[in-house]
Amino acid sequence: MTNQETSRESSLADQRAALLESIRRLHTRSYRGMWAIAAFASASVPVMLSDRIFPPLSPEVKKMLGMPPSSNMISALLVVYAFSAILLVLGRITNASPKMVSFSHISYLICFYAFYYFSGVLPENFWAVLATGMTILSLESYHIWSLSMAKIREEEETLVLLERRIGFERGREH
Amino acid sequence: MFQNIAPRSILPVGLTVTGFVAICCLSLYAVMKQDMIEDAAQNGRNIANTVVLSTRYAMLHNDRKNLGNIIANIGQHQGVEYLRVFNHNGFITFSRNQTEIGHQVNKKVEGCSGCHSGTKPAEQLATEKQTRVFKNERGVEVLAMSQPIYNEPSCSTATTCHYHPQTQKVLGMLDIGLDQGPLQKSLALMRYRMIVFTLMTLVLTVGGVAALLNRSFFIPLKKLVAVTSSTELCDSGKHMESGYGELSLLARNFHDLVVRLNSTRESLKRCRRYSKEKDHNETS
Repeated sequence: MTNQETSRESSLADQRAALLESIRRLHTRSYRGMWAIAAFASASVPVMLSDRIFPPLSPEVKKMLGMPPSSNMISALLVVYAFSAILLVLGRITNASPKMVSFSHISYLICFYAFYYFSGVLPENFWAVLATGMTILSLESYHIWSLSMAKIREEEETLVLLERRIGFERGREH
Repeated sequence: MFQNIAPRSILPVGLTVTGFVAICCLSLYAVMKQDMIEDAAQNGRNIANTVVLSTRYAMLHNDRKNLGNIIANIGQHQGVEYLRVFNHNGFITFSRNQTEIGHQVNKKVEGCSGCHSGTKPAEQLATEKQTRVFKNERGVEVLAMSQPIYNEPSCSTATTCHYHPQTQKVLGMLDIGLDQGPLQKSLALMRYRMIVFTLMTLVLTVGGVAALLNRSFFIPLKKLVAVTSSTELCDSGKHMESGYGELSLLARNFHDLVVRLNSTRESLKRCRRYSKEKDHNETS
């Protein structure tokens, strides 16, 4: 075996290893949306039981926080937020943008929970925030999952071609 | 399932429409519920004010019999769960329910704690704090309002038989409880109607989008796949009928390509046959 042949074979093996690593990374990435949904669901459980878990706010704390915004205003803001977030995700689906699931949505949604809690209308509005979170995160999750799956298929096709080439090279040597 | 284009196209549309309609309906329901409860509380406060104003004359003249009758009569009103008046020390002095007259009220319960949480009771109470909701012993949800009866100049300068010192700001409290049953029934009916409306909107929207996509995209795409996968194509020359826009054009282009390929193959075959015959003739 000549030096040139050896280096060609090792280069093909490196490419194969890189492809396998890329497929593994894409598999991990495809489940990131599920992790976001699970994190949001876990954060929502104590919120649902807030009247049993959290003690009522003392008058001093209420005074320190000041006047809470009206529940109608928070609800209007929630609808606007949901509308814009869904539009952004749909835009990303249309352009096949590889941007990852943004965990920042979870913090925005927790802020909505907090605002409703301080306004004293959390039990009435809990399901609206939950539906908002589930819709946005499910759409983002679906987008990332389908994009990753398409990339995985591409990489697998390349891998098959590469393996055929490696087999051909070995056959030629023998 | 997700290898096909149909579920991959319909799922995001369905999820978006379903999610957004659900968010709007849930928010709208919460806002409407809040508004209806506030209306009911305002209605309750109006009744409490009416009672205080109706009994004012009898209170000034210390006409306890007349006062008792007014409380008992208004307490009979449909939807009024209880109606009572406490004095300054928390003893029930007038009530629709005669058996509770003379009993002292626990100042630590929800309705009293608004003013009696500190060492010195508060003299003014915010409007929203005058209202509370609880379930009574019969399981009825009650919206209760406490209306303070404040000392007025006419009370402190009244005749010697019925006199309150000027320093005493609150003379007593009127407590009224309204049955929340009718309100809960209205809310349940509204909830039911909203669910039906939401489901109808979802079925129509998602169904409409799915039908349109199916008619103008999935059916022609299936035909295109069938036409391009057909093994007979090369021989029969069949192609997809026009009327499917770009997909028909794509099918026709594919057909033309196959026809040209077939003709090239035929030419090649003829060439090979000709060269073979030529070779054969030369050797013979």
